[in-house]
Amino acid sequence: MNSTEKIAVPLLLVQTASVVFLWSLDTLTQVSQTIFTLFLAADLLSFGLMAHVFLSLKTGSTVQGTTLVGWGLAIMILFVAGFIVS
Amino acid sequence: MGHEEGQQTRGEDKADKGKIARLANWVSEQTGLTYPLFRPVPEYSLNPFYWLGALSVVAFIIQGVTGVIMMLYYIPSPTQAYSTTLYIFKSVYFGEFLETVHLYTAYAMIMLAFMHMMRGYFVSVHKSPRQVMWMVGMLMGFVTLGFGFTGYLLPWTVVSKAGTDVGVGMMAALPAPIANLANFLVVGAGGDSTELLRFYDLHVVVLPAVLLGLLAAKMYMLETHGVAEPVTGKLTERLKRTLPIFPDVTVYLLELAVIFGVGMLLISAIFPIAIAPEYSPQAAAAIAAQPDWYFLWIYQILKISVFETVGLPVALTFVAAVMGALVVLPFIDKGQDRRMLDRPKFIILGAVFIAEIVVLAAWGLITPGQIISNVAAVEVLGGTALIVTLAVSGVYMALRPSGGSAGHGSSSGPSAPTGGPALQEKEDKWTGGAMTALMAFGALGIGISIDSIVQLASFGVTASMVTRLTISLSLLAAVVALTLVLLRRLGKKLDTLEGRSSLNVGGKLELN
Repeated sequence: MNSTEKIAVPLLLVQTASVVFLWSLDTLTQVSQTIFTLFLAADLLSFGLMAHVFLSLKTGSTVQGTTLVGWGLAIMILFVAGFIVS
Repeated sequence: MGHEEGQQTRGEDKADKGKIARLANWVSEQTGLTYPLFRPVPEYSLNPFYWLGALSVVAFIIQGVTGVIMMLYYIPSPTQAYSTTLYIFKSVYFGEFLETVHLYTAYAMIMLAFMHMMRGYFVSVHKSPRQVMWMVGMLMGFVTLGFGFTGYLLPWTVVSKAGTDVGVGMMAALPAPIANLANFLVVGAGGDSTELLRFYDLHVVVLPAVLLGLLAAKMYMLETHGVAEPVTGKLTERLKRTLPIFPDVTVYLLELAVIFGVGMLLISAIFPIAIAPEYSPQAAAAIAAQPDWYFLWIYQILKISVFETVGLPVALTFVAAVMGALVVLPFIDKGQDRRMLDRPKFIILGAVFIAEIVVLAAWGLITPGQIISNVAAVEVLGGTALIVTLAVSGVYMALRPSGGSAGHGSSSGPSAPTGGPALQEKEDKWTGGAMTALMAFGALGIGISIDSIVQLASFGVTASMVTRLTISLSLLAAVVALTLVLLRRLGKKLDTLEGRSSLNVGGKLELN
């Protein structure tokens, strides 16, 4: 696996898990809509991170460690917030 | 050339042995996605400020998706519009989420379109050869505002109907042929029923079709002219390098789109909307009607007492003239200079325009339904214009050497002091004294401003307090401007003292 795939695979797993979870929600209540929003946001952010890493490698620029950590942290916060609300 | 580069990049992709790359290549071969239909994009444009318009289109797409889902339930009739809106909100899966996202992305679309326009104004994208492209973009902006105007009425709440009535009422003040046409387009002869139906048709059919047509025209012109070069910073060879539209630029746009989408989702989750009560003439009479925030600046102008009665057509003509001037801007700002430092008049005008819009909208928000006295209008709007003009002029004086364009005037500084150490000591004392006085006045200005704002927030808007705030902000702006001028003079003096010998060498080289 190249470096893009090393990051892409776990992120795809995160996305899959969140999508499965999202489908299990009863979406008529305010709380479940908030949970849905948080997990969808985490989903989108992990996709955005994949896109960022892909493009950085493609254009030959380095992927900043702080960017990766910040992005990962944001995904984690959204997940934790989602679990807390649920 | 663009096609060759696209093909070359395609070849490089194939050389990549990764699984994802192989999958992307397979998709490309099957669908032709990497065929370079669009010209490659220079790397310097991989900057969010270049993509504000594209993000506005992303918001439009989100609007389309959420709007189509809501169309399945919504009925555009005065008796059912509110109940079906409430039904979507409370009984449809994700209904509240859909309505919230639809509203917030509409706001974002308008804000992004405005930012896109102002960025274009400041970096001169309206200059040759993109004049018509600018005008098409302006029309797209008006259509975007049209979406806001027509969509605002659809929930049929007391706030939305009363606010829309204000806008529709304003149209009566237009010249008869235009007023009749506008009345036919948005109201009709059937009262509320035809009005709501026409707003709905405009919102979901006419305006999207017009916007898509204009978007296609603008994209075609973008393909013809390419992305405008940046006006600041050094354009290195690497930044000039082009990237294919797929996958590189598409992936970049997706990255921006998901960040924007996440922002919208989180705002929607944190600030879910609430549906106002249903419209009835009695309920409408009990509230102070006003339009949504993006029209508040126009509404606030109309509330100035001089425009209240016979002055309404004058006010509308003024607003129309401002918008018209923006449309024909390429024929007003015709010079070839694109750098902001070389266009002080237009930059100051642009800054004043933004400041006045923000002040008018904020003022409208805190004074719903109140008539604004002429004196207060002159003080607040004139004060804002003065502060912004002084502040931007101060920045120009600090950054732009006198008598020439920026970056070319290093020889225009003051002459070196010739009075020896005694004079220098005297100058140092004066400089120290001036800086101390400026700091004191600055602190005074900040203190009075904060106090005035607190007083305004606590006890409501009074003419005397607005005047006090205006004066204190003017003082603050003057201090900032004078400080910048002083710093500039000090900087030049230091340059002259430290680099006298090098200046001489430079002079000789220049002469040779």
